[in-house]
Amino acid sequence: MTRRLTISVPDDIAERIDREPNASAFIADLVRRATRNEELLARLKDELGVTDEGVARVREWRRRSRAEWNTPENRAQAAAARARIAAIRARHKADGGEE
Amino acid sequence: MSVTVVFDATALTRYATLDRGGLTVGEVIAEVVDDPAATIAVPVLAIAAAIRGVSGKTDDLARLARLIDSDLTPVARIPVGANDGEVLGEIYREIDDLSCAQAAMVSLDNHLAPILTADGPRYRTARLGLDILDL
Repeated sequence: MTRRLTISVPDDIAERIDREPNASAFIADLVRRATRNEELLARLKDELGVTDEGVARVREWRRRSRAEWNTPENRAQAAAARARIAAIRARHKADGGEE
Repeated sequence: MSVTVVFDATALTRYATLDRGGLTVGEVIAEVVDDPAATIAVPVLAIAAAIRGVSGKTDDLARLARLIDSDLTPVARIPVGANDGEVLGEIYREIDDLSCAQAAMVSLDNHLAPILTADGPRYRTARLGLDILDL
């Protein structure tokens, strides 16, 4: 079941919505995600004792981890690994593997 | 889909059992949901290994089931494709664990999204240049 709503939003939000072929579905999906995330956060707080301070600590930990990862050695290893994977996939494709 | 972080089998298991690092997994989830476009990648082989790890414990299985339900958590289950065998085998040879090999492949395929794991040394030893978040 659906209901027709008339809402007012700032110009920049309206411009973003205008780019969607199905604005109603786009907004419904965003609201569903927001609701899911609210319920998820409440469950994490109740069940595990997650706190805002803990989340802030994790955010900083992730930022620091990424910065520490970003060394020439790690970048070179990752580039080599990705090149090897690309080569394996190209070889497989050339041998008649599916896309 | 924008993969923010990859959960491997150990991350799933620690969360499900509320074992050491379980709270950190919850905090990572809470941090990720701040970004509406963010997605937690969960390789299907990690799910299989985690299910095996918590089998018989009803509460833990229920917690794991909620974690990997995309209606409840911003997760994307990453399947093993029909053409992934060769790449998986190559990484498996270096990592020596099939579910970890898929987690590494998912990371390499998604702009080196960090892998949340309690098995960091296994990934580092493989020298694939992965970004590891140690539980």
